[in-house]
Amino acid sequence: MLRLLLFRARRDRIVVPIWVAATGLLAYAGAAGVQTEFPTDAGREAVLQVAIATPSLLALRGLPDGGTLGAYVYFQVFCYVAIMAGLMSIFLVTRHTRADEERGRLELVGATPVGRAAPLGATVLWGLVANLALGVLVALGFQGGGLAAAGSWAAGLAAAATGFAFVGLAAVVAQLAPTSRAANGISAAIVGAAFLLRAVGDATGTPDFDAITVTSAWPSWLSPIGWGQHVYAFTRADLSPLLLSAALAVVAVVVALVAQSRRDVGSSVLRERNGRAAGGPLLRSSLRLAWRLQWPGVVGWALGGLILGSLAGTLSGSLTSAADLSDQLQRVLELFIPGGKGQLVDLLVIAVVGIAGILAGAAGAQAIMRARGDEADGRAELLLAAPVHRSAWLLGYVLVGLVSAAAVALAAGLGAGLSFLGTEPERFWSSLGAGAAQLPAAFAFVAVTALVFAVLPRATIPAGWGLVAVGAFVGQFGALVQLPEAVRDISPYAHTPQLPGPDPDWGPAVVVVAVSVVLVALSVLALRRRQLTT
Amino acid sequence: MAAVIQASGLRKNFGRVNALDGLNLSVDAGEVHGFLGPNGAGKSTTIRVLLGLMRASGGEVAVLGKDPWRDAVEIHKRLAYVPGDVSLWPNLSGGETIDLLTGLYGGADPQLRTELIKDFDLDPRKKARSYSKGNRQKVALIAAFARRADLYVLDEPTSGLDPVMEAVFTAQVQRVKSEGATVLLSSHILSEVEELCDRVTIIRAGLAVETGTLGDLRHLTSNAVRAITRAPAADFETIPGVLHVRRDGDALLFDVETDATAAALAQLTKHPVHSLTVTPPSLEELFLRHYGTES
Repeated sequence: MLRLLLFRARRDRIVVPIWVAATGLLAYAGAAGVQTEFPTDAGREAVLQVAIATPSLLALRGLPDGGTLGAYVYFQVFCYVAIMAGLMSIFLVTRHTRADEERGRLELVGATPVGRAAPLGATVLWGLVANLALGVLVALGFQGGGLAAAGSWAAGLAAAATGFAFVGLAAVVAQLAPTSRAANGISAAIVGAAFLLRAVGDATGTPDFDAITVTSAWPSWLSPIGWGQHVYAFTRADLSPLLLSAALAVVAVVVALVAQSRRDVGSSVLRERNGRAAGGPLLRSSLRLAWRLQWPGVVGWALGGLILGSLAGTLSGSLTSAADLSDQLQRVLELFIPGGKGQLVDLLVIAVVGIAGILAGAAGAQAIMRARGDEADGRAELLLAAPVHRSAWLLGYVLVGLVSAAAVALAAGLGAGLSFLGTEPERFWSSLGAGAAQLPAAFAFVAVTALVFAVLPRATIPAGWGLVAVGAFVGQFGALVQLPEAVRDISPYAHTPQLPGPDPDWGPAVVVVAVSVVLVALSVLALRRRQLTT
Repeated sequence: MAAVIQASGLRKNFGRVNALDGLNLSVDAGEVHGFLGPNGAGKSTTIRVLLGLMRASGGEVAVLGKDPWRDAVEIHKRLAYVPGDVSLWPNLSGGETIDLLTGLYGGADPQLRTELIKDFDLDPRKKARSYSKGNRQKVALIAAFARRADLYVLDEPTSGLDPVMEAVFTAQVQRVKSEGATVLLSSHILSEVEELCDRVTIIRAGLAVETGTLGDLRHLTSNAVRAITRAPAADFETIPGVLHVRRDGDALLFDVETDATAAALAQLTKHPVHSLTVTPPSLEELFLRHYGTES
């Protein structure tokens, strides 16, 4: 068992430290940023009063608990720390369970004198170790950012416990799902659902304006992320909600262990259906292959976008849409919504669809990563030994990436538009426009990933996800952590036209598109000159 | 133009490692050419260079009269390829994969496709994820044989097949040969090469060490003789071309080069011989001769 555990640590020696360090950095940057932007309790209280009055902002952040520094930071960043812990955990679990089983590696280990459940047990332990490490880094990050030590460690524990709950859930999902891709998809949807549940619960909670707190509604209590929030690490420091996380993790792990030790290797509850016996006329070119491989993922991403977008209308009920904002309020809002100017509801749409823009960039970049996956696994050899031009091969994936990104962004716009039909039907088209406005930035991610693929093929997948993550961070938190404007401008999302709004600026977006076209052209040239690299 | 594949002095280095170190390879139109060598000899690298998937570091190479790096697509229109380690798209079914791969060349012969799926006993509805190595190889073989090509490049195509499927494969190679196609068959399975190939090139450490028909190559080696006889070993040791004379109980054993066969037999018949076996060298021995000295 110890050997299996160390083996997992060895396999993850790069990826897990990156997750842990990035999460710690997020905690540090959040704490340090708040401290410079709002040095006084009074300033922070003013912001929170606005947030409490417009609950939809709570959906994007968390539960306020007074204007002290620690409380404010916890309100701002804990949910995102928890999402990071959750994503790290599910990818970790899938990698060492269903993915190993699918590739036949579990069979190799299973033939050695270790128990049937030992690999899963070692995975869960490794998940625990990784989450504890993440918790420590989060605590150090908060402390390093100038927050109280006791609170910082409570926050770290909350992050670790939340992450470990997702370890348990992902372990169960890995028993159910027939493939690692399906397991990761279902588990990621669970993390997304946990965020959405607490978003709804927090936004529909009961505010107390004097104490500057919000008591969340029941949906928050269905979410491990919600349990972590209720620790209120820097004020109440109540660790009891973490018992829920621990209990969920233990129950889930036991279920997964029992399932693992009773079932055949390679079997799963959900079954993979047989495919078609023939390819049909639609599967006759590398472009169509790219689309055939990509579309099931796109459906998932687009559904996510649709649900996310529909939050806009659902949450807008509490907003005073007609009110023009005072300068002070405006400044506060810009912190929540990057670059936001104009009406509150407009800003809400921009914020929500903006998050979908990140999903769109990820979906687009993923298409290029598929080309790299085909190359690394030797499948590209089959294609390129056929009369297929390399340029056509790459451009097929670029096109599919653009279509994927468009599908996700427009789905979010559509979701937002539909959610307004009952209240403000005139917002339908402007919401759809907000979706379309995400396309230039998403295109940039497709283009940059394509260039990396053409020039440094082995770096494609880490660089692709890394770029999306950095772009998302700079876009969402750039203002909060006070990155210099020049740095923020590097992110394509900084140039997204602000739609809906009084005067969207399309100029920078046109530049982004032009640069992307040049990058794609360069990557085609570079790909034609290089040989296949596994 | 007789040579379908013509490579001379082909070099390919990965950093400081020389995968190919001046390889010569000539495959004539209409022949089945065996490309033999142990793992790591450079077979797959050579094939990737021939397909224009990798660029040669030096030397001359022409496939179907064209430069494989510059005119890859033109060449590919006329060839079919089965890689050594077949990796497929896990969520496509076998049938879909076959249609995709043949579709890229303009489509399969539907009748051939049906026959091949039956002969190779493949369930085309299963997702590639659930296929074993042998089944993945079948998918690539069916895709390759389901359309007519001028040149078939097959990289260790039977390493995952059982003997029954190997027979199906052999029949397919013989069919395309009878239709006038050229086949380059890389392998380390000797029986398959012995059965199918007109000529053979043996490669070791990135260099062709031997090329010719099997007859030519046998000429380079010696027959093994085993006789139950009282004839003294010393009488044979003096014959030029007779090697490794030794006794094993009643049996006298020695190797004899083809040219010395008559002299050795003449010496044998001077004494009563109760039993005599003369074994021609298997390709296994040819191989050992080339690689056995290395370790």
